[in-house]
Formats: sequence, structure tokens, C-alpha cells
Amino acid sequence: MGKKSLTLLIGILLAAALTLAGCGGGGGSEEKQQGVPGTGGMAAEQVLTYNNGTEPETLDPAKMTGIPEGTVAYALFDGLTRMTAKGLEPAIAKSWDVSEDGLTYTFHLRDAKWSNGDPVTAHDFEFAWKRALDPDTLSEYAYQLYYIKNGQAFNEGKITDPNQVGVKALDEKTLEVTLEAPAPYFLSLTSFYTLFPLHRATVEAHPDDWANSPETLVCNGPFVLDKWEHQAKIELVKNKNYWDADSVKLDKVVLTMVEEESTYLTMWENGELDSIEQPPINDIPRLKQEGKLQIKPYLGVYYYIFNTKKEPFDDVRVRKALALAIDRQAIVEKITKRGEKPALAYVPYGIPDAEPGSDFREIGGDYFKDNDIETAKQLLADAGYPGGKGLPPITILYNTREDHKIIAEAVQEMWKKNLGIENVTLTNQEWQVYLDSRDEGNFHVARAGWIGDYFDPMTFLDMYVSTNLQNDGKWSNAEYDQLIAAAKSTGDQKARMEAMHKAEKILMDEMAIMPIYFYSHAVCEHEYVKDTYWNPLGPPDFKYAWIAKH
Amino acid sequence: MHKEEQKKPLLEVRGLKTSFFTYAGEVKAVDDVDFEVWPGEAVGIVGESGCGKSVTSLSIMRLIPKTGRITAGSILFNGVDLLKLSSREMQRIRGKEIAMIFQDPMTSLNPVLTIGYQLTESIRRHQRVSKREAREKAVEMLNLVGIPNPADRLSQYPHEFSGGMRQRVMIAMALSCNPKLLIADEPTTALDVTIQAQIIELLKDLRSRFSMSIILITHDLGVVAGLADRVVVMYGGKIVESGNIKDIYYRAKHPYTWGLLKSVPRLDAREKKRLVPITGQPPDLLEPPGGCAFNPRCRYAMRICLDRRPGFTDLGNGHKAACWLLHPEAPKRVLPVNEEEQPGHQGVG
Amino acid sequence: MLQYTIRRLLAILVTLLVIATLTFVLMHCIPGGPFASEKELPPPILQNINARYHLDWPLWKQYFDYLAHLARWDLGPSFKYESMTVNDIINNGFPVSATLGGIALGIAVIFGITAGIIASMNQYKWQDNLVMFLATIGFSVPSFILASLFIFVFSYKLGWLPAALWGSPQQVIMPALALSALPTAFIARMVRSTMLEVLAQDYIRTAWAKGLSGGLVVYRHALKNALLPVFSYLGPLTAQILTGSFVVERIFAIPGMGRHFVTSIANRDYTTIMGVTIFYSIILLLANFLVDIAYAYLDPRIKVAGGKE
Repeated sequence: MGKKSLTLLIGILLAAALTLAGCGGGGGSEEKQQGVPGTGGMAAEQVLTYNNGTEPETLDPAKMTGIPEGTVAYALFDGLTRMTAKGLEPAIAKSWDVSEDGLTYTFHLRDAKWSNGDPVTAHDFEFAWKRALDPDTLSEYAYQLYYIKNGQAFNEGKITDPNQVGVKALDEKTLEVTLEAPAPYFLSLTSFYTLFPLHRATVEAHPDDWANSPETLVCNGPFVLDKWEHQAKIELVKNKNYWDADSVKLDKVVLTMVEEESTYLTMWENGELDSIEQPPINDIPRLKQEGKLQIKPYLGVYYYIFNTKKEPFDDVRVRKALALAIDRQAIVEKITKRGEKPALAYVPYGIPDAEPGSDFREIGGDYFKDNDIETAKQLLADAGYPGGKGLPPITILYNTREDHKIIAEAVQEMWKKNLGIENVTLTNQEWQVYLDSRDEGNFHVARAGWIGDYFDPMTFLDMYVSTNLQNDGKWSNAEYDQLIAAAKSTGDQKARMEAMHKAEKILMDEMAIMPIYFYSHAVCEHEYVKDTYWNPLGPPDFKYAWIAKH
Repeated sequence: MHKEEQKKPLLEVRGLKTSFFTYAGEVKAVDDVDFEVWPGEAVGIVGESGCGKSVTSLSIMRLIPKTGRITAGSILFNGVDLLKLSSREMQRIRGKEIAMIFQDPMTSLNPVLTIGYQLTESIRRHQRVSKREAREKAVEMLNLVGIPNPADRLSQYPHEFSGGMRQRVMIAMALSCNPKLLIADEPTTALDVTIQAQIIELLKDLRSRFSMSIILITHDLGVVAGLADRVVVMYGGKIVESGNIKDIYYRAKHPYTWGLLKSVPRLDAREKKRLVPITGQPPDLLEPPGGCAFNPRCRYAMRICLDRRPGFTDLGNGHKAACWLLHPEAPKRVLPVNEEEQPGHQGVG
Repeated sequence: MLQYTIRRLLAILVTLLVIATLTFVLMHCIPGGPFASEKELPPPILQNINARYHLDWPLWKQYFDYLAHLARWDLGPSFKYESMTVNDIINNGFPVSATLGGIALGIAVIFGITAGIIASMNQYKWQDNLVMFLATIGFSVPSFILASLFIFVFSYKLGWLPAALWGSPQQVIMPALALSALPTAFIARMVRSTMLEVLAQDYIRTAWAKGLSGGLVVYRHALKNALLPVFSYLGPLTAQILTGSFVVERIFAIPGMGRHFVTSIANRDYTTIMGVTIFYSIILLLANFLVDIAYAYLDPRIKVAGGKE
């Protein structure tokens, strides 16, 4: 009978597979990657496959909050403006006027169509923005529209008549927006998905599920939704009715939802995916060496918060000492390895300053030295804890993740070695428990991270105003509050930027928080993938992308 | 009673040695055994637990568990040496030519198959008959062994039968293909006394009806007396005495046989008579005592018994015993002479 | 039999109620909620959201409201995934998980039983040793290591199979193998052990004594007895494997139900937690019930309580 032969067969197959795996080089992936990138020669098949990471929570631009959702939104919709590699470009709005006092914007819309042929009108914008502000819509990012007059009041239910909200369609092609206070970055905000227009008839007909299927999802962007296989993939195809369809080279975009890092890296190296972001950390040195890695800017900062209401963190000298005794360069080189930059201030690179072409961070410079052990030691002694003696026990809180753990361990070690502080412990908590702890002030030092919502320092600096709920460390400085308020109330960019630089200086002089590094975006893109715009807010933009011959 | 000499015995066991190989060493369960079974005769193999009688019968059927092996000898069945057959040929013998029933009827039947299936299975295995014919035969057999309502009971499961009934079913199964030799390994040991008697009667009846030979293995001399023509007494893996039933019961010559016979409780015993057990333990088959295996427990042991194994002394009429007492130069024993002490006065026949 | 069935089904309903209650209580005991995020929501918006989903009702009210919907098999909206209801999540995910699970189960049963028989028939010989060695590996190597190993060997190095995703027959092979490793090993060991036990029984000796061939003895007489205990393992195994493995589905990016058992808790997606827990419980309770019924048919010694013989 086949019993013996069966066992033998299994044994042979196993042995064969393992032997074959052992010898031979890197498998089929190398062949696929070869091929001279043609100089402008376009491939016959213009299909881009990108790993979007997870299932989007929703495709309704008014309700989304995350980056995977944003990726789809930027592909499906066009707002008044669009952020591209060349900067902020007019999109549905072909031009705009700003009033003297900076409070009134008049947008002039171009001729554009929805995917079903209907024209895009100013009414669509008015409808969409008011809907986002409508408390019943439950839009979590409604606060992006609080710059608009009565926006916050309407959203909080203090007023109930939507007509009092400062957005109005003067006619089919003219949209008038009135702001609460001058906000020069309002223009770049119009490229953010919460402010996208919506096809009114469709949304009113299917209020709860218009964004759930290709049949009802009417959009006005470079692509339309062709297929949504939940938890598997989303397929987009070129939108023939897009006003700028000539600029769109791709016929199809496939967004996969693979969550496991090693799996999507393997798929990319196999050629099953055209581009991915955030490959596993341990593979980064190898990928860098093989020239497969690219670092893109990412508007975010990683830092630790001090609970200024607890001893000894109420003493600025202690805070500064702890912050200066860290070797950030070592952390980004040896631990995070994604090409991050050490953060010696709070607001990251990538935000324009008052002069065109300038960068807020570059102008602001560094506020302290990295790994300044001598100064740190001195400060600690001045505060009454020479050599680290006498300090009460310190706990570093972080949410459970391997990289947060390693960084915390490094910080713990550095404080011990450089300052002689023996009594530092680490605590990790599950994400939501950790958020609660931070909210309730149940921590000494807590890990935090922040990604900007728009391209202005305010998205970062706003947080440490005394009254902001997000200010978990409860640091408070009257002058800081004043400066921020001033920056919010004028349209004069120069004055604003000055005020914000001053504010940041105060924040750093008092070391209310301890910045560690500025985020970066590690991506792996095959050579034949061209012109993807990696938006520093996170989501990639495929409007201008194309595939070269390979 | 055994029939007149046929030309050849049905079964001839010559020099059989079967051992089990354990971590501790080789256990010689059967150590050089010779005997015959003639057509139509019933042979009883008696001895205490561990004397090798079951292993002998399992050796004949070649059903020794994997830890053991037949190390020497030949087993001639109708002239064919069973030890030289292939397993397939042996499968044809088992159930058809030689059948076996076992000690514990409670566990000897498969609980998840119907009685009918288990019966017809062996019928169809060995004979080319249709399902229906096999069922009819099965009903017939059940009838024969005294199971009421046999047709209905075919679809029942073993757990729906009592112990005695199950043994009957086992017998029916064994005889369904008309074997020439039936080996019954302690068939009554697990049953009540009254049922025992019934089973023995049944076997007697079937034996004459089917003209088959029976090997009856038991430690119970009462059972043997009811059925056997000849008796083989085993001890420590060897045969110590064999002969026809009268010779064994009235003229036993081996001290072990004496001991066995004396230890049987007697219905006509005087009230205050004590039972006389054989003192001591069964021999350790890993390291058997030198010389005669019985010497540690033998009242009559002499020096030579410790040194050398006695050979068989022919006592006439097919009666033989292996004991140094029978050697011409052995001292005359103070034999149990009194009527009372005369073993075996039980009315045999 | 009918009486028994009805009684069992009622017992299942009661058990489900207990499970639902316990889950509800436990899930509301852990801190956090479905709408927590590092970018905190302005309180009025948070209030609105909680009101919309009735999270501001007193707990007992939420509980009974949930039960009322549950009776209609309306598991509610997902708090995390706006575009799907919990019913959608289960309807989308379960067929995928069940397909993958069913295939893995088939592999486990076929190979496990075969290997166990081979091992038991050749005790201590090389076949037995090989089977036991492989079983130990299947037992001890975690599925994620096997999964990663498979991807590395068969996809990356050899390029024979696509690394992940779902839809084509090639994409089933590696996840099914990774998923089946543990149950196959378990079944093989179990079958080997029960077969050895059964083969030592008296009735097997009787079967040999009847002159039956080896095949008949093993398959007709021994196997049926030996497989009975394996059967009772199949009940919970089926429930577990059909509802999806978090690890395997994640590594191979398979759109099944498995991930939700874990992620819904991290997300505090209350309705999804309740939905998948109750769904799993139903499957498990039904599987056990079916196994019990099957037992009554397979083992003639078992009488279903109060039933006819």
C-alpha cells in the first residue's frame, strides 16, 4: 500500500524544498526589477499598486481622520486647491481674492464635472462644509472648519441656523468664505479632505451610505472608485470627467491592505507591489545599502511630555537637564534608522515661513545642543540634585510598541549614565489606557507624537496654550498664550511668524516638552514608478504619477 | 475419549520455544514444549497463571504480541508447519481451520460493530457465500449455541448481551466456519459457576456434532474433568506431566500434579478438612531456578533436582512425567498412601 | 432524540445569553472607548457621537437595547468602520475564513489520521519516528514562524507562489498549510495514541483470530473505535479554525474574520466585540452539539438521554 511511499514522498518533497531554498540567489525578484528605466518611455500598462496598509474606516471625506483614508480621498476628490510637488496649486478654484482685512475669501471656480457628468458648483462646497460642521454628521475633524465664521458655534449647537455659517455660494461658480479671524494658512487648508466638495443630490439621497459603494460614490477627482473589496483591496480607475484628466497618466490604481510589515516588504521585493511605505525597521539598513530606500519629509515630531504639576518636573532646570542629557543623533542612527533628524526644537522642517521659499525651522534654528551633558549636569546640580542624587523615582510612560520601548530604554540608560539618575522605570500601557493616563495626568514623563494637520506652525504650537485640552502636561505661560493669540488674530504673515518664533523660544527655554526627533517617511518605490507626490502630512498623491517602461 | 489411532495427529507441537524480549531480558514463557492433538480429541492444558499455557496456544495461532517471538520448534497442522507459512497463508488458517475463543467475553467483542456483522464477517471471509447466506448461517450458529431469538439479535451490539451470552456468541463465531481445531483459552474463568457448566456442556455437544478437536486451557481441574480426553500439565514454561485423563487424575506421578489435585476443594470432603495449597511462588521466568523448575516448592526435592532438569519417564499408555523421583535410582518416596490422601478421587469419566 | 435536541438548543440559548452579558460587562469595564484618539475630539463632538450611538445611555439600557437587536440578528453598526455594519463584517469575513479554515481542517484530518495510523502500525520503527518528529515540529513551531518561513521559501526565494492576499488557488496553499500544522500534529499524535490503545484490546485479538486481513482489522475494527476520541476534539477545533486565525490571516493579508477578534478590542469597537464573540460562541456551541449527536450515532454504547434505542 502507499503508506510507506507516502511518507517517503513527503520526506523527499520537504527535503527538496529546503535544499532549493538554501541554494540559489535572491529568487525571481531581481529579474523583475531589471530593465532600463526608459527616458520618458511610458509602459503599456499604466497600473500602480500601492499598499495602503489597512481598511479605510470610511470614504466620506467629511468623516475621515486618518492617512489611509486620506490617500483614497486625494485620489477621488479635488478641493479648491491641491498640494503638489510644486506647492499649493489651484484645483477646482482657478483663482481667488482675499479682502484687505484677511477675513473674506472669494473663490472663482473653473468648469469642472462630477464623475456622473454633473457640473461642480459652489453650492456643492457650501453644502459639504455645512454638512461637515453639522453636529449630526459627527465629523471628528469638523474643527478644521472652525476658522469659518460661526463654524464652531454651529458645530457645538450654540446656533442652529446653518445660514449663519460664513460660507456661501454667490452663484454657481463663486464661493464666498468669511473667517472668524485672519488665517493665512486657510488657503492651504482648502486642500485638506475635510473641505472637499460633495455631490449634493447623491449625499442627500443616501445620507448614511453614499460613500460605501462605487454605484453611489460620485466624485470629482483624478480617479473614481471601481471596486471596494473590504479588507482586501480598493481599485480606482481614471475619471474621464475629471477637469484635468489630461494630466492623469495612470489608468488604474490598486490599493492593497496588507498590515504585516514583513509580508508587504516581501511583496514589494517580489514585484507584487509597486510601492510601499514604512518597511520594517530591521530591513532598513539593508534596503538603504541596496539603494531601494527613499526618505521623504514627514510633518511630525516625536517627543516626551513632562507633567509640570508633579515634582520635580515643575522645576525648569530639571526638565532642561533631562532634555539635554539625551544623545538624539545616536537614537536616530541606531534605533529608529529611518533617516529621521534629531529634534532640537519643536516645529518640524517642511513648513514655509513668511518669505516664499523659506522654512520655519531653518529660520528658527536649534534651541539647544544635542547631548549637552555638561550643561545638563550643571542644571541638575543647580536644581538641588547634584549627581542625580535625591531625585524622586521617575517613570517613563509609553504605549505598547517595540520601537517606543527601545527608545525609552535608551533614554533611561542615558539618564543613568550621563546624569547618574538611578531610579528611572518604564511603564507601557495599551493604547487607550495610555491615552487615558495622559488625559488624567497620571504620569511623570510620557511619550507623545504629533503629525501636523496643515502647513503652518500653529498646528503644533496651538497645543501648548494653557486652555488646550491636549496640553496633557498642563504647562502654562501667559506670554506664550498671548503670542499665540496674537498670531491667530492677524493676517500679516511676517508678524505671525515672528510671534510664533518667539512663542517657540519660550516653549523651548522652559522645556515644557522634550523633543527627540522629527519624523521621516521611509518609502520603497520601484524605479519605474514616477512622480508620486509624497505629501508630508502623510498620504501619497497619485494624480501626476505614471509608470515607466521596465 | 480418544478415538482409535488415526494415521497422523491433527496437531503436532515439537520443541516449541517462545520468549518475550523485555528491557530486563529474555522471558522464556514457553521453554521446549512437545505435545499432540489427535482428530476429534479434547486435550486439556492445565497449570497455574504464568505457566505458559496461553502463550502456547497463541503460538499455535501465531498471535504472539510484537514484544515476543517464537524462537524454536515446529507446529505441524495436518503435516504443514505453521511457523513456516506467510502471514497471508496463516490468515486463511485462522478462523477456518483453527479457531480460538478467549477468556474475557466482556472485552473480546468489538463494541461498535453489531453481533451480526462480527459473525458474518468471518463467514464471508473464509467462504464464498452471499450476504444473505451468511446471515442465515449466523442465525443457525446462534441457535446452536442457545441464543434465543437469534434473527432479532443479529442487529444488536455486544453491550446488549450478558457475559454468558457473549461467550456463546464467541463460540458461535469460532465455529461458524467449521474448524478442525478449537482452542479455548480459559473460556469459563470469567463466568459464574452455573454458566461455566453450561458452556462446558455446550462445548461437549458441539465437539461431537462437528467432530472437531479441542484444546482447553484452564487452571481449573474441575473444568478439565468435564471435557478432556487427555491432559497436559505445564509448569514454568515446560510440560511436567501428560497422559489420558484417568492416568492423570488417579495415577499422577509428578509432585506438582499431586499438588494441583490436592488443592481442589471436594464436595465430599469431611467437614474439618483444610485445603492444601501448593506453597511458594510461581517461578521467575527471567531467571528460572536451575535444574527442575519446580524444585523450590517441591516437598520431595533432592540434590539432583537443583542441578539438572529431569527428562521424561514413559509410564505406559501415553502417560509420561518429568521428575527425578521416577528415576530408577531415586529413593522410594513416602507417597501419600491413604485413601484420604489419594489425590483425584473424583469420579472421572 | 427530538426532546434532547430541543433541550440542548434551549441550553445553547441560555449559554449565549450568559456569554453576551459577561462580554458586555467586561468590555465596558476596560478604560477607553471607541472614539479615543491622540488628537482629542472637542467635547461637543464627542458628546454628539456618544449620543448617536447611545453610548450616553445608562449601561442597563444599552444592554437591553442590544439584546433586543440581537434577537433580530441585528448586530449594529461598527464604531470603527463607518462603511460596514457588524453584520457586514461577519458576512464578508466569515466565508473567507471558513473557506481557508475548511481547507486547513481537511488537510489536518486527512493527513493527521493517515499519519497517526502509519505511526501506530509501525510503532518504534522509522515511520513512527518520522511522524512523531514532524508532529513535534508542527506542534511547537508557532504558526507565524511557519507562515513567514513559507513566504520566504516559496514566494521570495523560489517565486512559486504569491506572497499574500486572497482570491486565487495559489493564494490558498501557504496559509492553509500554516494553519493546518498544529491541528495535523495534534490529530496525528492523538490517533497514534488511540490506535495503539485500541490495537492492544482483546477484540482486536479476536479479529486476528478470525483470520481477518490486516487491512480489515485496522480499518474495520480498530479505526472506528480509535477515532471516537478524535471526534470530540473536532468540535472545538472546527469552531476555532472556521472563524479564522488572527495571525495567519494577518501575515497573508487575508480578508477574513480572524483579525476582528483582536482588533475590535484594541479599538474598543463595542458592537464588533459583541458581534464576533457571540458569533463564535454560536458556532462553538453548535459544533459541540453536532459532535454529541454524531457520537450517539457512531458509538452504539451511547444513548442520547431519554431517547429511544
